[in-house]
Amino acid sequence: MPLFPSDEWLKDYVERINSSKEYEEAAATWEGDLCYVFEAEPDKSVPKDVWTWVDLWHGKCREARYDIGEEEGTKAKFIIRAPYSRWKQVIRKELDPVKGMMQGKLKLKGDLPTIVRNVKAANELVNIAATVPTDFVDEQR
Amino acid sequence: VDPVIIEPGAEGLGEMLGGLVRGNLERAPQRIQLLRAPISRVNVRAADMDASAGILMGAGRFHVHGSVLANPDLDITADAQTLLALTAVPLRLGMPDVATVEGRAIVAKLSRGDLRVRGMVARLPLLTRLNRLLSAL
Repeated sequence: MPLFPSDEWLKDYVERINSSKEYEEAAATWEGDLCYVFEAEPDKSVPKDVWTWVDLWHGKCREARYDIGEEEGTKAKFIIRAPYSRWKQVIRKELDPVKGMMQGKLKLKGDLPTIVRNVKAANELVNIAATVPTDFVDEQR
Repeated sequence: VDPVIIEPGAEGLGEMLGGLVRGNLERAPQRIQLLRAPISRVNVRAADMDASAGILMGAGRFHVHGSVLANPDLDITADAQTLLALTAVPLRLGMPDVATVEGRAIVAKLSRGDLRVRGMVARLPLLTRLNRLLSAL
């Protein structure tokens, strides 16, 4: 099973995005890249922030890169950041991303009206993440 | 000068409301006219989580505070998904358009009490201005 966070996990995620009819429909008009920032939690085996970039375009992911660094990552149109353990809750569907944002547990940088207009697409991205069989880095023996 | 002020304590819901209005004003600068009225007090509460915000709206500013304000003109309470839906519902004359599925869904939530707007009747013009400011459409 892919380890989260890792390049292997990202590749599996991207494959699932590109084979999702639900996402393709929900994100038909979406244009813009997105950076997920998995913030460091050294006590949970995430020693540094991991910036993961996905280029999303009209219902497909054209390209993705793992651990691109902050300088590159901040150029993305949208940035969503949270500590690693929050992402783990999102992937396990224990934390609804909309509620997470309203509670300040997930931070979004970028044009909010665009996100609101495309909230179905954003929810599909989370649904897809939850389908990736995942080993979490802090649960490894 | 940025008409949207988000107080440092206004995380989460407050940041989202402020960010939405800021984004809308960048996209549609004419909406600044909706902030020309005298200052009113608006509270927004997400009932299914511990999140709320108080807004001083008017005199050219949309000033978001991290906690609710005393003696609000409008007090809006709903679950998080409904609050989000309010910002994406098609409007007609500043109110949810009942000719649309989304508009009817909001009206149904109002009639069931899942969405509560205290001050809606007395401060209808304020509510329509707020709806227009927050609308992401």
